Amino acid sequence: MEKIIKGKAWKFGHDIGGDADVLPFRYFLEQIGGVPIEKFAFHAMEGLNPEFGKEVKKGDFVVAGRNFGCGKCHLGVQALKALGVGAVIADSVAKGFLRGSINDALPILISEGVSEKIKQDDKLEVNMQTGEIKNLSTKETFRAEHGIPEGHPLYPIVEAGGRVEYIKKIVDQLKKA
Amino acid sequence: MGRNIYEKILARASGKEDIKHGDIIWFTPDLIGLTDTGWHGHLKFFEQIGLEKVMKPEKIVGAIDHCPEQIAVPEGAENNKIFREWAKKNGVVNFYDIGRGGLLVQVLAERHVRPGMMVLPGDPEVQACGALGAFIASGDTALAMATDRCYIEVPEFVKCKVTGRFQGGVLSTDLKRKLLGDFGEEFGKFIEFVGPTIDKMSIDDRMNLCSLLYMSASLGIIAADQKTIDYVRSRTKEPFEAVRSDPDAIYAATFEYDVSKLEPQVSFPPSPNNVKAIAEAEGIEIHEANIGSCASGRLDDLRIAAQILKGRKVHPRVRMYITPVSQEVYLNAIREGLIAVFIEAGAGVCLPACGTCPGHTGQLAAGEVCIATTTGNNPGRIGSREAKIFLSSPAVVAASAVEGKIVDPRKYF
Repeated sequence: MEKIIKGKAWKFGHDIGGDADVLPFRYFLEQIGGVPIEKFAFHAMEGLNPEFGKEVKKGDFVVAGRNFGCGKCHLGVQALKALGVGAVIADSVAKGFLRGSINDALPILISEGVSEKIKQDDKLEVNMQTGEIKNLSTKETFRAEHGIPEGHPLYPIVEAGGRVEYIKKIVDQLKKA
Repeated sequence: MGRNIYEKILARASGKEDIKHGDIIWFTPDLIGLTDTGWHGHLKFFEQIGLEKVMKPEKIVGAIDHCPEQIAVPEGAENNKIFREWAKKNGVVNFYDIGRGGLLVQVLAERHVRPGMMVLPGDPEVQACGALGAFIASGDTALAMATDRCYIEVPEFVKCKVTGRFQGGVLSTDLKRKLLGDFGEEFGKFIEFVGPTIDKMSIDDRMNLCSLLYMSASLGIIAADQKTIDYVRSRTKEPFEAVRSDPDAIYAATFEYDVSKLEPQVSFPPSPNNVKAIAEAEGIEIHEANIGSCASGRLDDLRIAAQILKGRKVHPRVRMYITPVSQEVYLNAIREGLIAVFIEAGAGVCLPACGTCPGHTGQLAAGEVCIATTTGNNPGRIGSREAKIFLSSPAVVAASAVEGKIVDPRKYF
């Protein structure tokens, strides 16, 4: 995991749905046809902000209120990851979305009330190890917790960079043994 | 504090004594099941992670059961070839090719699963093996094959106590279907079945009960009793532990079902959870009647179908497909004269396979109606979206096949 990520905040509200908003479910059907996620990830969040998918840069942040990623979520995590989103920063995150973030190692930072301290286009500098968030636009500094912290049983998967990387690491170790 | 059977098996497989709802726990599986689906993708993934040989090939049981017909679509000869060659290269000795095994769930039950085991199913069809007192723990199969470890999120455990005597023509499958309706698709809890009715059930009937597909993230288990021990002992000398729940084990909830008044149940389209009692389905004309799948098609199912079909004919409008779930079941059915009954009645008998369940066999034309013991009935599953699929027990299916419409089988008993 990169230590410091700098990027722009893309601000959203409360109760953002996985299949409803993060990546609208109808685009999931493109994957069934064998289309790789990179080709249609730009549809992410388009119902809420049509610019997001087109303008988001690697290392930018998705900032949201409560219950981010609620409801079913088929490809929301993968879409944000494919777009290079540095982390999701939210007041709270839906359990299913949090579980789904592990295999793709999409960083999730959680802090109640954090959404009130960040607005659209704010420049953020985030220390991924400590969870410290510097809002360079407001000069405020605050802290958030990793959704999957060190000590979580599945942290090794996130730490390795995702499921594929985790399994590969163990396979390599076993080959050397 | 007492522990239930699931907790005990997981504790042994994980080395962790403290197990709570919501915990994520790493464990070592005893068996890993594999079917013949998606081998182009699996091979690509193994190349991606650099997996040249699986860690413990002796734990793997593979069966070609979704596409033993090796039809052109969706999977076919190329896919099965990859699976076959991969199994050979990796030293997977427990590989059941066409003509030698049958459905993965059935070969696992007939030859490999023992009470107290932690089993990674590889496909939800294997759930029925919970009837042998094993924990069928859905999880990351590739992770387990590469590292010999896997993880599970601990759900809530519930107890389902079953009492009363089934009426003639009412089966454990009807109880299972009642649960599908009562608990719904989103149930997400692991059930332990107990009670005098469970004690009296045959192994086949217990397996049918534990086949809980379409109750997502749910499982059934029946602690091994003398019947289970005798069944397993007749097939293997390998040691096992007939794990049972402590008398003071804790469950999130207890449900009680008295089956003495249970009527045959039918799942109406568009979902297996759209369950109604037989009276609401009676009279619906049918074109196809199917017995088979991981949920049914065991020897007891074939016996009850033969009881109804003996000396009778399949209705002129109806085509009937009967699929024994394994070669062993098929052979036993031949020896008992059941296959002759089916053929004399005018039913087709098929190679053990998923077959009519996913519609690899017996597709439906627009406007046709099917009644089946299989697991899914969403529109378009077995052919035309304008066809209707009803799901029920082998007794209902056999009786309906004779009369050309859905009927209550109890009159035949």
